[in-house]
Amino acid sequence: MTSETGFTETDLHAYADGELDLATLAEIERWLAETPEAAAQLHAIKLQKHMMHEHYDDGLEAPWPEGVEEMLTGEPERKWWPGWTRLAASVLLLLIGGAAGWGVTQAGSPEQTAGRSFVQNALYAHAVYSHDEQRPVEVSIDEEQLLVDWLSERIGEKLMTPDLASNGFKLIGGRLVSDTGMPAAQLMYEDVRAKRVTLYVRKAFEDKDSAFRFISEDGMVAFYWTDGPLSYALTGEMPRGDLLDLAQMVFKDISS
Amino acid sequence: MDKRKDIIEQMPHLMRYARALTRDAAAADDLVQDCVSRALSRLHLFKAGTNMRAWLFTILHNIHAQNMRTLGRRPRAVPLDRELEERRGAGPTQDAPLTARDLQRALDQLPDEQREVVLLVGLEDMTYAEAAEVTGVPVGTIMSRLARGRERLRRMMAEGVPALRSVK
Repeated sequence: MTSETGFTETDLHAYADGELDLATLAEIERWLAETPEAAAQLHAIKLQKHMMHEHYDDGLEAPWPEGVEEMLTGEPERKWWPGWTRLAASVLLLLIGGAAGWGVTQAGSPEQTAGRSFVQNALYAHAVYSHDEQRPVEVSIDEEQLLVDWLSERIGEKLMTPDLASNGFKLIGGRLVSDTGMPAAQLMYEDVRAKRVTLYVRKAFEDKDSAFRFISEDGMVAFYWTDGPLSYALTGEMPRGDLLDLAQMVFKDISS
Repeated sequence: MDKRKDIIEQMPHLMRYARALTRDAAAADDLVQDCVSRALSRLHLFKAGTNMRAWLFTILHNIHAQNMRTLGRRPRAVPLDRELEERRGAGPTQDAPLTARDLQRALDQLPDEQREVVLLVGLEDMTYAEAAEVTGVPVGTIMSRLARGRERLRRMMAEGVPALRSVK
């Protein structure tokens, strides 16, 4: 269907879908008035649209799938094991993991051993504290200045608190932990579903910057690296790719 | 937080489109859930000032395409109530007025790539450029799929939906 004015079926659709500019509009309307066949086709298109709305518009009011509202509005949805069970399990894992971890640290270069020990401690600290519902942090974000000053003083370097809000995680606080006798800081982040990741920081265990290294253990994943005077380990329970996004964010935020 | 608000604004549209696309409320719920969760985990990749709706629909679309690939050639599950209805042959007869239900049945007969475009443009009022972004094809392809899809619908509506005529 091509008109004398050069209109085609495509223009008809574009007209029905509001894709034409004003100048063309007037011309095409004249064409429609003179061409019953085109007018009938336009009518069919409009009828289809109308019926589609009639049939599918209920979907606009459909209840949202489970969990979506919590994800979007920030109402925490806690679906964890009872705190006690979880904590007990974590401690058990810690004990087993500790024995196994010790065996591993016997092998490898001194640097590998130091790195392995560092990230192992980060994993332990994550397992124990991130599942604590009563007191996951020692100092909460309500006293952010105190938190930062205190932890910086203890680890002996200026501690940064990376902003992960654009990935949906907000800092809830932190605590001081012992990394085989060295003071280390653990910062805890939480998303709207109360999923937690921890950033574990201490004075660098190696004397040069490193790439990201990855470890996965007991359902936890961690990336760890050294940047300047500090070593970092970011630990969570999520797909590796998701944690990598977060780790990159931490790295970027700290080095900017 | 504003980006989340933008997602919330699009929720009714995501729900409607997912239902139309999957033809099944439970599958649509799963799809939207996956879409929102993926969107939230990649929120930092969304460029402020660009089109949130197209971005979300693109994510939804990719997940759907991935699901379809995973399902492979396994036959699509037809919800029981619809199957029963089809077995009863409750389709349009030549002289009954056409209803929205008939249109939906006709839509079901379209190839997926035509159905998607007909829905994105006709139901979700997307511009051709947005539909092109969502489906990852050029605007010209959107236009030809749209024309072919609508023409097929029109013919089916005029002549009766093949699957329904074959019943009985």
